[in-house]
Amino acid sequence: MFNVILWTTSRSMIFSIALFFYNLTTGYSGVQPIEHLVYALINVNMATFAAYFYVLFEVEISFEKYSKSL
Amino acid sequence: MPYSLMDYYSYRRTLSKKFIIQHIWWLGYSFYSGFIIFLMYYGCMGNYGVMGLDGQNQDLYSFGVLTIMTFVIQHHIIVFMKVRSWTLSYTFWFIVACVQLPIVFLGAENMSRSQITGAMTGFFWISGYYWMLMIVTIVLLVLPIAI
Repeated sequence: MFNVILWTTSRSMIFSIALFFYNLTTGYSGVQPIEHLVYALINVNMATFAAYFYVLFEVEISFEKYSKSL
Repeated sequence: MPYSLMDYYSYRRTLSKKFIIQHIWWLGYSFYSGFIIFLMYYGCMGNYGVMGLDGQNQDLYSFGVLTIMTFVIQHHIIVFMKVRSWTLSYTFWFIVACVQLPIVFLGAENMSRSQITGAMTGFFWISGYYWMLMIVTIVLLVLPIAI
């Protein structure tokens, strides 16, 4: 879970920083050089599924080894 | 208990330090990645860039398309590198996650009032320039994590 928080935050920051520099350099203040549907779906299904299933399937402790001692 | 309390406290202390260090590292990495994406694409597709001089920069939407494709692919590569418990089901869902990117772009391309109608299969995905640029950028972004 800790990793996923870092990846998600980092991913959003990378996108925002790239757009920030683009707008700063071109002077197109507030212009989105991105198609609206794509922009809307970035955080819905394009870049969240992998992290979501990572949370579901990744295990810190092997259940086969330690389940009896719990 | 299946663990000693002393080990647990020690583990927590180590984890807290690791948490702060990793946060700072990822913060720096985000700035590095965002700046590299901007530098590569704007440098190549701007007025005096390699593709800009050839007249192949395809307006400002090419910057958006390449930025999104790059950081989504980079995200999947990072997850791919960090996952330890690979199972058959996770492999299946990882492929499903990877397929979302072309599906969304194809959907946007086929919308009648879209800004990139016909652009993805028209020139983005068949142009060697764009793929080359994207591969070089992704390698630059993933390199700090791979090292």
